[in-house]
Amino acid sequence: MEPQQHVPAPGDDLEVDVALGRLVFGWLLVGAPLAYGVITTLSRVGQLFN
Amino acid sequence: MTWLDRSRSLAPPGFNRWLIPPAALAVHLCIGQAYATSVYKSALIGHFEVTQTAIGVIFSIAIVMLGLSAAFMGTWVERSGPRKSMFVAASFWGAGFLVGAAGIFTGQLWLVYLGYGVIGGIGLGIGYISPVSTLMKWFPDRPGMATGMAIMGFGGGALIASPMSTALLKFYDGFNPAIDGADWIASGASVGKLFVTLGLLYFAVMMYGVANIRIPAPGWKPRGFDPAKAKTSAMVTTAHVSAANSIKTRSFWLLWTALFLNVTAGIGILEQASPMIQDFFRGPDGNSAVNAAIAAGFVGMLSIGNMAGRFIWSSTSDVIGRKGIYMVYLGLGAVFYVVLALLGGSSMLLFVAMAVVIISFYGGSFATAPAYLKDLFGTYQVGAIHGRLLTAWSAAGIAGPLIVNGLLDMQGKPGTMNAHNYLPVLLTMVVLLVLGFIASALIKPVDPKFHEPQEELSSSLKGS
Repeated sequence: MEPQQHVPAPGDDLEVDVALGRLVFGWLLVGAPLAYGVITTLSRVGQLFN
Repeated sequence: MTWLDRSRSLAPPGFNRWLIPPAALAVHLCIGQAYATSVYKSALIGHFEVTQTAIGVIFSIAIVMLGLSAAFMGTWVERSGPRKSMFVAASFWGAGFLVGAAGIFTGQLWLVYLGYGVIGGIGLGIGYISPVSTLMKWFPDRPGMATGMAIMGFGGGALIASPMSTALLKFYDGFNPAIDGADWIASGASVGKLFVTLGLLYFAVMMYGVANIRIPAPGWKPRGFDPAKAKTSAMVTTAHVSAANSIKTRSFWLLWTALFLNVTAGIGILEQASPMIQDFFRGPDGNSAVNAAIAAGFVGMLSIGNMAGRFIWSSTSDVIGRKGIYMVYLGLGAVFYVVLALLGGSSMLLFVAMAVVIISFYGGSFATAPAYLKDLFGTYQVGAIHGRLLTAWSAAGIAGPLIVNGLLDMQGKPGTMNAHNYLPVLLTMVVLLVLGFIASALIKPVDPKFHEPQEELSSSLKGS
């Protein structure tokens, strides 16, 4: 079997790479359509109690 | 394709685990479209000139294939890793739409069954379980919240797909409100174009998930997390059970039963949501105080409850335990069903509140299931075990509508019933939930004879 390329990262003694740009892009990619869906649906829900 | 191999998706040291939920959500938000098929149902009925049932079968095939592919491909998904399985899911889901579009353009309904139903359904099943065990490995401190986030996406996918599909259908049809009016039904050609658009769009978004999913290095744990301290309940094991052995345990089948009964009861409301609220508020003159637009708002409210429950209740299970939250879903769910049946017709607010909470329990039971399996069987093959558990969903998808429609057919014709006619259905759901409550109460830690031997497990986990 091929040896692992990465040293196992125990987590306790390593700084986490925040990767802000990728983080923002990833959450926007899923968050923006979800927000659109929720807002559109809530606008229909408003008719329930009118 | 080595890029897709498990070994190539190993996270580098210091990788930010919060990049994983968007990758998982990218898949679940896309496959969640399966809940939004009603948007083009009437258009397909008109295009193919067939009955409602003939079009409804498309969705049924997809859900049955979801359960079957999750059950039979679970072990492959676990072995191949999340990247390769998510790629296969994206390919099947995208191809399913394209084959379905070919069926619509050529007027061949069987091609739609094959495309969206069979091919797309396989994409649904593999896509549903692909990121789940990876998420639990990244969030061993909050597995319920992690899986709740992803599986919330499946509920949320319909919230996006529904308005987006309507907008696209109007665009392809050149919809003009002044001419087409409120009775407008999309043309078959525009549904075909919608399928092509969705197939390509969903494939692209799911590929974001494929490119960004990572598995943690062996031995990785979040900063400050001590697995020894985390094991605070007898219901949480540190051992591991294989998928093959899991289905030999009593606890697996008790959990299967509890999920099956909870989902069957939830489908009781989901299936009938729109006519049900209109019937509950029908006056003695036969007219309902609830029109179609208000009923659509109620259906939207249920969708939000379904989605929110997946995240909220699954996250709550990290605090009160998986068994505790299942007792809430089933026990409190039964109480709310009784309130709905006996008092629902007296107040719109009470009716909506009860229904939304019940549906949030329905969603929650899906989202909490993977973490419950991890507690009982460990992380070794939890994705494969999850796949086998999802057959409960397929079974409930058949049993729920059969029970509800069968009992309602005995009460009268659609459009003429009132709250009283729903008593047999709702009280049957109460019985199902009480049975589920009993099954859940009987779930115990797995007998150690089913645990994997430690030495074999160590070499196997190192290889992963």
